[in-house]
Amino acid sequence: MITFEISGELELFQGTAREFAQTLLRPAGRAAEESGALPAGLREAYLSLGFAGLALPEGVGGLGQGLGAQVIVEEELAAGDLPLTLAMPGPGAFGVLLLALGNEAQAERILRPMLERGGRGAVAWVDQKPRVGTFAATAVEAPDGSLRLNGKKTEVRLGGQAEHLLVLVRLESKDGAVRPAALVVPSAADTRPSGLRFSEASPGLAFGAAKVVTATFEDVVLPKEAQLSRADRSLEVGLFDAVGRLSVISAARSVGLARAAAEHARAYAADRQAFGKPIAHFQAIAFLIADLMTRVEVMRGLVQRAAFAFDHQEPDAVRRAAYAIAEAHEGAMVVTNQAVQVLGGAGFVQDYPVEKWMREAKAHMASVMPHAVADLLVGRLALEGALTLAEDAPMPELQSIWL
Amino acid sequence: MDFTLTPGQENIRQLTHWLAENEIRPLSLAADRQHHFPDAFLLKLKQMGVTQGATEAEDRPAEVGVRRSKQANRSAVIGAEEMAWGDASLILSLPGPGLGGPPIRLTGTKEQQERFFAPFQREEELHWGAYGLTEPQAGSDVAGLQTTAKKDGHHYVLNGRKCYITNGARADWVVIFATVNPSLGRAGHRAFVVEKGTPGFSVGKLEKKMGLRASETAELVLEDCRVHVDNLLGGESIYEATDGFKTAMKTFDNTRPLVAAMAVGIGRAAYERARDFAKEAYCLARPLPRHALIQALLGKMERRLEAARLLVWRAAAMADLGLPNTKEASMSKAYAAEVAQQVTIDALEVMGAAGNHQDALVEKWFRDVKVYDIFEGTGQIQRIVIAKRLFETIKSF
Repeated sequence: MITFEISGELELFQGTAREFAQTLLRPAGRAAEESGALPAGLREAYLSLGFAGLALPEGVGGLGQGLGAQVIVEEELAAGDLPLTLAMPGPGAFGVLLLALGNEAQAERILRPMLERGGRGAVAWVDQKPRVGTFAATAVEAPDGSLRLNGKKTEVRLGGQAEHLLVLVRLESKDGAVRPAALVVPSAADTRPSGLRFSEASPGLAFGAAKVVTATFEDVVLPKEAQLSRADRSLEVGLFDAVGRLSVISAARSVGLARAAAEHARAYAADRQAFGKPIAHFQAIAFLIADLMTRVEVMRGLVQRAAFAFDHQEPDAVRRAAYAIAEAHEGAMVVTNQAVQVLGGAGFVQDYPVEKWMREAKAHMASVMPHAVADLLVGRLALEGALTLAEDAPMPELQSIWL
Repeated sequence: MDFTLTPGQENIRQLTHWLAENEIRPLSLAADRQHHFPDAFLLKLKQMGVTQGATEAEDRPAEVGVRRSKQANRSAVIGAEEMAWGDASLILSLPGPGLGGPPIRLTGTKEQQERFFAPFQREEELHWGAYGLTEPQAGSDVAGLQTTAKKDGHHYVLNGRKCYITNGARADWVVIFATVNPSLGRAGHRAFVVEKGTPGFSVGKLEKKMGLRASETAELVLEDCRVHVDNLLGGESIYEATDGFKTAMKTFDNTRPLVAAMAVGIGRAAYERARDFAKEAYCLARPLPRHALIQALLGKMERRLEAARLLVWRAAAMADLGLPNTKEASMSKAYAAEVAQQVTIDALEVMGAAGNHQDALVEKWFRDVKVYDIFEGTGQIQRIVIAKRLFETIKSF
């Protein structure tokens, strides 16, 4: 039955996330962008809510709530502060990829302790020098099955704080075959292999509170167990599943960001006086805000629809994820840009949060994939019915960041 | 949260689509050129059970907040999208009370409802009702209507002109909005049911339109037209408590998501044509850079149609639950109309000359869809409605 109502349990998650986001994340966002550090106690407060494992299966210590619950929580968190949302502990994108590409034993071995300790994972996807059609970072398999990894990965979100990295590589097997593969590399200060080094990237447009780093691998030797594998599906199928899920999560954060901006613009327009009355009384402003609020509804609709498709194993889930990411990223840019416009000069200065949100909308667009690429994927499905990893996956040349 | 159609809705979707594809589409171009669907075809549809009722939402429950398990509005928008995919002007041409139905159901007395709805029960005959609000000088600003109604004994004497009235010439009756005193503004408005053949009530010109040509659009003239007080909708007493303007507007809360669903249906028709054309024309030859451009454009069309559909479903679901949905209904109407227009524009772009000539349906859909951003409240009126609910203190527009 078509319904947009959410269950009582989900309402509870939503309310908890909203309170946490509005009372703890929002007020801390501006300072954290400057300092790059989290306020004391924030990490613990987040972990106590259980959101780190919200959508992870109960088998690895998660709450087993599915993507439908996660998008509701992520929207709320991002409506508080997006960079701080990304900086919260937990497996994050690492967990989604690990579940999609690894087997149960690997997921259990790595994710359970990470959740118990409140640690975080990171994903190393983008090669510093991209190689078309595959990954540039290369792992060579030795006769004993061990792997020697070399390469340079950029855009690794909070890589230096992660206890594990998931690295996408080009694998040269001992039998001579060459194919893409995913490896898990320990990266905590005390377990990190000596050939792994991190260096900070320039601050960039936004996300000072959740910085990206460059990870350099020099003859890093890993046991064969480091390679993720599942007997029941190929890396290709797993990657599209993970890309889809991460797209939906990323899109939900864009909804939160856009909602915050639209609501701020609405409140400002109701209050700010010009020509003797609140500026909302002018249709030029009122219509603009009506469009922004409509756009947020549109974005949320596609995100929730896509989450439902994954939770119910619908065959077109990846296609719906592409709708969601395209709409959310395009929409967040439009909404935050126009929110700054509504505030005028006040929108341009840092006394108000909207300029920060506008920068973040653009920076966030680089996560997973730009909206035009998502539209291209839908078009390809419409015309040719299927996607292939080599032609359609968000490969390194697109410079996607994995959050 | 759930997006699964009930088995009943899945049936409605499939049956309506079957009908649209096999019965309606084949007649669509000829009907557009002849400016009507043949009566025999309309009668055949009526006997198959396809009437306005099939695409018309039931009224919202009077008590806001009362939850009901009813699916009427959701089922209606699902059916309307499929019908419009076949031919949008057919929906407007189907026999039945049309937009005149809701005000009679919402405001009419029991006696009036029985009397005016009676003709539609007759199996072998075609009957229409109509809704007369718009005037040459009062379109979006319906509160400024100029048609007058002067009490004279047991009658009201109506004078004025109504325009763009769907099925206005062939309707058995038209719900006419008039004012008893222009200086009273909305409080002076009254709704009358004016029957065909009433002396002083005549049809002016039939409009020639850009699109929806198979749907009849008439001008109506009222010259010293005497309407018995029994045809004053709801009787005189209800106007002491409420006003006719509210009756006029209530009609639209029910129908806006439905109209939005029709826009989605037209847009989807154009999108599918363009996609199939691109499959043949571009995929075989594959001039890559251009191919990618078309591919991304198709992706965007598909994405935005789905987004519009979800807004429509949401507004309809809220109506079924008895929740106030004026804002959401207007959002769905404004957004769907805009998206559907852009999609038909893009479909012509993808197909080039072929869209304009070889496949004339695409140029027809391009002409048909424009009015969805105009009738039942223009895109600008929808934004006023939305803004008034976002800023409750706004009084200036």
